[in-house]
Amino acid sequence: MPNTKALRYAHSDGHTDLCFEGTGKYLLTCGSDGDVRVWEGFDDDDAVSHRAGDRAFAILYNTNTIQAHTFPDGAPDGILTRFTAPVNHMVINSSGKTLVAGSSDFTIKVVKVDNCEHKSLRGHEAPVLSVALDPQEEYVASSSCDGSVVIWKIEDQSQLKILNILPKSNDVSLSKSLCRLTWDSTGKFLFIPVEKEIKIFERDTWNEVGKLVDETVAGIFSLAVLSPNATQLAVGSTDGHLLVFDINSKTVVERYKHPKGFTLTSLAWNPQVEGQIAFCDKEGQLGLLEDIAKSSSNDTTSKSAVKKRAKETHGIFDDDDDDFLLEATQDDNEPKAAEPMDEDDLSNDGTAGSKVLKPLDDSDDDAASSVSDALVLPKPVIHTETYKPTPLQNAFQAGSTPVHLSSRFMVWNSVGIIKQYNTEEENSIDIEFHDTSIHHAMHITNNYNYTMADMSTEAVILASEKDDDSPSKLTCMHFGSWDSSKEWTISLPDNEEIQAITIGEGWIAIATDSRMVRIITVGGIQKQIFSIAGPVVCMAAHSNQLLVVYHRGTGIPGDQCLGVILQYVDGSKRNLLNMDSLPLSRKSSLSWLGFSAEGTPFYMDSAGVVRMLNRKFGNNWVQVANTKSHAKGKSDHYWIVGVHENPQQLRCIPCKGSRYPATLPRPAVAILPFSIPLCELNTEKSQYEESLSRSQLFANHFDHWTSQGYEFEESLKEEVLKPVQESLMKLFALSARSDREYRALEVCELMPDQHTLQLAIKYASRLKHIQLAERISELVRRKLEEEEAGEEEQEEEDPYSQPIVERRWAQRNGNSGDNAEEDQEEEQEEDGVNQYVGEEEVDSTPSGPVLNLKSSKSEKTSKPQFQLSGRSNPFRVSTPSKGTGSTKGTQVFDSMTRKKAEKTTPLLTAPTGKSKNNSKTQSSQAKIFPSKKTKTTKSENINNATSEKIPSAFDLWLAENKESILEENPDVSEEDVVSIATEKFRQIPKEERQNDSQKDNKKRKREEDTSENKETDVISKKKKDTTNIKPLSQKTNSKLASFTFQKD
Amino acid sequence: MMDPAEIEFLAEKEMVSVTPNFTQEKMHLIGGHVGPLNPGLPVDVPLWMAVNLKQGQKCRINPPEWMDIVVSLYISDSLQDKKQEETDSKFFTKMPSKHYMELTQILLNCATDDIPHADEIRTLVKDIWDLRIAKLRSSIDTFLKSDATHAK
Repeated sequence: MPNTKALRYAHSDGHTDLCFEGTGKYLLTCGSDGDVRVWEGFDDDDAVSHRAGDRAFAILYNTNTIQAHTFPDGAPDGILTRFTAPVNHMVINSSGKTLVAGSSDFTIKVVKVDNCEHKSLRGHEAPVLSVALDPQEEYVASSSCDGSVVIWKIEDQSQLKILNILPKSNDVSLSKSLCRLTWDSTGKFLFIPVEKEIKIFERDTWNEVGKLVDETVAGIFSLAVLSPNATQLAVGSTDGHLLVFDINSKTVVERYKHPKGFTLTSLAWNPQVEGQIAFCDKEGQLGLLEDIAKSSSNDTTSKSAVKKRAKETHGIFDDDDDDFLLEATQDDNEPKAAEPMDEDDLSNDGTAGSKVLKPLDDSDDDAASSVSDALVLPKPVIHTETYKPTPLQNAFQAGSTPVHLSSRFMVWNSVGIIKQYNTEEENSIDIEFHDTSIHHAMHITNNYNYTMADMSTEAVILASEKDDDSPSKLTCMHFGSWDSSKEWTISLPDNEEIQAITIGEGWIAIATDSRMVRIITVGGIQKQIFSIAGPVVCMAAHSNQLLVVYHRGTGIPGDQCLGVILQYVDGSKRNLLNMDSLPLSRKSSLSWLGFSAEGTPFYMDSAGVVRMLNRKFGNNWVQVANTKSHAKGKSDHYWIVGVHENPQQLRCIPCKGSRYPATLPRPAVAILPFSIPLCELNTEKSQYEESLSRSQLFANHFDHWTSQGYEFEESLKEEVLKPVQESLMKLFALSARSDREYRALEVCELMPDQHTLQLAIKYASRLKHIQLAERISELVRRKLEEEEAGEEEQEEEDPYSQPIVERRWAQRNGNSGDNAEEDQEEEQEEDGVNQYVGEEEVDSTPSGPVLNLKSSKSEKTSKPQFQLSGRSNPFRVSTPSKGTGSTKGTQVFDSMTRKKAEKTTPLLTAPTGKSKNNSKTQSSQAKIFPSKKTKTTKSENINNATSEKIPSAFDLWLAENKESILEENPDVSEEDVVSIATEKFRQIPKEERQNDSQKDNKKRKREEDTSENKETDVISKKKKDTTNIKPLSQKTNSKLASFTFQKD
Repeated sequence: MMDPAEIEFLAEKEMVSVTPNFTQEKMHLIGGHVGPLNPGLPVDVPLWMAVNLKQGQKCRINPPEWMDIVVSLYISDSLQDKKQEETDSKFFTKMPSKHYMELTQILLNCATDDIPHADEIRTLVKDIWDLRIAKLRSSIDTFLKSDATHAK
């Protein structure tokens, strides 16, 4: 077995070359860093570096000259020769007189070192890979990137033989093989590494006479170096194999595999110490092999017997080649590797007469194996697939970086940052707060060797692990305290060690290695203690909630098996999560655990997936973000520092090429969006669905707050729920437009309030989905009934929902009139609202109202159940319950205009939404009345007047008196009723009429802007103008109306 | 003709990222809305406000991405690269910011502690500036000498 020395760093990455100094005492290396190092033996820790070459052995890159350096002081001796491109390989003869160098400029130079005379060999068509000087100094062999091996005659610089046996490449750096060829000691054979074999060529004839192969090597042979005693050939391959062949037997006597499989770039035998090979790999590392087996036959007589037989075998071939081999064997007086396959040889004898070396080749494989059995003694490696449990992940503090770092974050959360410095000079802790109004920054010396920390707006807690002489400690710096002693420390029992700490609102939790969680108040009272079912992994706290994650057992191979407890520390309520398991991504571990600022548990696993607790869906965990999808590089990660639900923010620090940030330079916080991984997220539908479920999910904390008895402003929740309504409307519009009526109805079922449902009905009917509209109104009715049934209980039960309920009541009461008149035609809806607006229009012609009335009447017939309330409403609103009615009216109106704008977006334009521009078209302008009315042109006003149909005094009068008219004329049709009513209305004295309207006017004026009144006045005037010219018949009216609709 | 103070005044409208250490609701200013400011969370504010806050020790300034000498994998336009580009190009190259000079000047005056490699950045920006001035000079020079109607 060769004695290997551990690889050591010699040069930076890149091609590295080496050689031995003549005495074998010094080792010289040169690398891509341009340095030459002189090592006094392999173990020299203080190699002398020179900025250039040595006496003439090393190969220089980056300079185009060959410099001669005196050894060992390394001062330049002079320049031997120059090339126009880097020199790739050079050799020197044994006397040190002649040097041959091959360069990337395609030339080879043969230089006499004494007088610097040189001969150039030109003819290669690509950079020269390597050169070899014939020991008889008659020839030079060279290999080149052009794929050829050329034999040159030095005397006349002619190419004797060109062998195109190599793969071609463009440059040395691209060539797989360095093709370091070599002559044998007599110059009789040339060894050329070609692909997976070393070809042997015979001098003068240049015929291939044999080859050395080893089938265990996957890479390409790239180096061939003859040992000093000329009996062995060291071969280096691109996959890191180093083989030593016995030249005579052509068998492998030694094999070595580079531990990392890096390509070997150079090999050198120690000229003095036998069996020592130094090598370099392309990563600039230097290695040394010692005690290369010369032979094993010294040891055993049987082997020497075999050897003798082998010799006899060789003797059989009375050939030149064999003579050489025999000679070499005898000359060296070196016992050769055993050659047990002599029978093979003999059997092949007759046929292999001319190819003398062939039998040896045949037996090569077997020989190699038998030899290696004898010499290398490979231990059979039996692969047994035994079950190996995945190592359990260690306990950690959320938001901390590894403890071994000399400067690290102990915690980074939404309150502040605690940094620990643990260097030779300094052992300290830096505490700083994001908000300096909480507390000023602190710097303390870390006397107790704290490694864990957490902080809240009340206190900072620090904990140390157990030491040989001191127990595990917890220190609390309660800066929120109003007394003067702000700090206290508590020591754990000797056999217990703190593994995780966290601080909530007024309490601290400590998890220890004895699987206990201790809860201590922030003032220092030990309050609770409970056990958990496994070693703790991480803890987090928020107000009164404690989240503990621990190991439940060993998971599926590669996975962690974690359990989670969500405990209310005041103990009053049942645990939300009790010993449930914590879902993690495949083969990942927990990397962050915490609460959002709103108090919902979140965590991230090492795969970058962030999940949150969905309290509304069986307390399951739902993936809300994948930070990995935002990372630019494969090894980039995000390090979470905080989570906010409102606004939806995932605050984290991007870490390039690492999992955690360094303390310097100070990392910057980035904000990532949340995204629920729904299917087909590139479609519009899924985007709305995602937005819907995300906004619902992130609004869940309000209900939790309610259940915990926190107070909050309702408006806040409404603000948060706004996107829910928006996406519902968009989703509905999308489904309706793509004729997915059933789906549209499903969307409607999700709609929270009556108002959106009404809009949905209108929208559906406008799209001529009558069946859908009917089903929705059915749904509305059902919902109403359900709500009414549920309300009484609710009112008493839940004090928090009461405000909403009351408001809903008011809304419904005020709204029912609108609901009744809500028609399949959308202007009806404005009509309902405008009941309050248009009373001042005294002298209006019947045209508008007539149409109005007609449609509302038809509505009444179709939906009788709404009729009564709808009919009575307009006047009732203006009487005692005016206050609620008016606020209600404007409210509806406000939301109306908003809704309209939104609703038209998906309808009329691409979903990218140019709703602003879009609303300027005539038809939608009409809808957005009255805020935009000032800008409308006269013609638009006409349209407006007809389409809006501001209810006039006549309207009101009609509503009141219709019953009596019907009674009087029981057999007239609807149209006739209207005409009769018109007649009657005209008959009423003008004063009375005005009275009526003035009464309304006054009421109106209190509610409406005066400006709006003016506008409506203007409109009514204009309307009068048009109507005076030609009173519109009902037919024209309806035509006009349909015209406006078509525009929609 | 504008004097440096005026140019600086204009540059102070540039947005820079700061990390405040206090809470502040959204501010509605003539130039637009700023904020809301959350402690520990980077936010873009106008330069004048950043300087003001910094002077009151109410924030830490996060230097703009380009204000970095390290050649990073992701940011191709570090100042080193920019300088090289400016040197190599015959013409003016695009600067990382309209007010790169003023921004550097102001930020390095008030927030040296927040900007790593402040000195190198100062030198590099000055180098780039000098390169550009030299180009301008030579351009004017050839313009005058060549009797052309347009400067090149």
